[in-house]
Amino acid sequence: MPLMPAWTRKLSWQVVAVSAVMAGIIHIASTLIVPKLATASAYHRLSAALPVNSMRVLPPATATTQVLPFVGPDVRLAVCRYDVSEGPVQISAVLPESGWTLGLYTPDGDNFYAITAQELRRTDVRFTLAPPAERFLGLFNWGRTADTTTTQITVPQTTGVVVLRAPLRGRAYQYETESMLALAQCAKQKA
Amino acid sequence: MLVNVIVFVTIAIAGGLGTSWYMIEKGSRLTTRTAGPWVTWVSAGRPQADPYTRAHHIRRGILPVSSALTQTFEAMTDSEGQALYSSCEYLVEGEEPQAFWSLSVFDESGRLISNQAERYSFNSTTLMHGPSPRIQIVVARDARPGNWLPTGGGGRLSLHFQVDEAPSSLPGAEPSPPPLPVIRRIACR
Repeated sequence: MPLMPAWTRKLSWQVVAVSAVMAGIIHIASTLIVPKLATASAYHRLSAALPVNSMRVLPPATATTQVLPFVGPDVRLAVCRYDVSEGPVQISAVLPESGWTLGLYTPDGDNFYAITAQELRRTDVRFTLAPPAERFLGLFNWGRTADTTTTQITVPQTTGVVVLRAPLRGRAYQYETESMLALAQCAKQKA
Repeated sequence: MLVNVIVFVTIAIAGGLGTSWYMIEKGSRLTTRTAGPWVTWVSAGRPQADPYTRAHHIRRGILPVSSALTQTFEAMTDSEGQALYSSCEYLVEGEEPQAFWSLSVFDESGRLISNQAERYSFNSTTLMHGPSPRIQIVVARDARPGNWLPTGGGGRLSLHFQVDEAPSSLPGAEPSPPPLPVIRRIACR
């Protein structure tokens, strides 16, 4: 009794080898292309709902107000959709207690910068988002006064989102949490 | 000739696309950690996240918090491996983590499930405790005494258990996995 089915005798080992290599190429290409083809990404959803370079406190997540999937009502968000193509954008926020985080995301959802509140210590955050080439333009200070008092973060792409995330520790804290989120600002840097 | 064409198509296209889909949807030991029904993507929300983790989150519309700050665990099945359905009743029970945590229920697309009580989750401050400091939450369509999470008409369910970094964690240290509750099916309609 033969160990292998009869049809395998017609099979070329070169075809199997080329197929395996092609499978690898298709695997890698399709994995890398998924983020580029996604039309319902978090960035797309927020882009549709938010103005540019302005911080907005999102409403408490309910079945009718939920903006992002898999975000429950135990977290409140303030979000700024930034665009540094016409100049740097200034961000400021307060992280009053542990659990609060501020993250910067590219449109592909890469969290390229994050800061978290220190335990039992209020953290005031202020920084400037600079376009990818801003470091070099900054050497010549074209038409702008260099701001040396704040941290400058060079963003990998000209657009993205700033997300201030606050844990909501019960309805009694809702007003206080919203007030602290509302202190966050995002605006184009004045010339 | 025909055999070679069929083998090429099967291995190259179906194999390439199929393995890519599986790695993005389900993950592997390289990208996820599994404990009972709970799955977490280890490099979620990190700058050095692998392409599978990035694709997984962007495809589902998730803006992940760095897994160094908050660990997010998702369960689509109960502890016996059966898919979670809104027509069934479950008891989520286990030890309570030391840090701030929350347990939320979504439909399989990540939408909150509409209910009259407007209750979608419990967390470490909203949970009603019994005699022991343990998590005990009933996930069910109809009202139940105690900590009840409504699931009416949700179809397939997804439970998300989020645990913030423990206050005692050292800066830069990898967060240790928190105790994860078990999900017991009580009954189905």
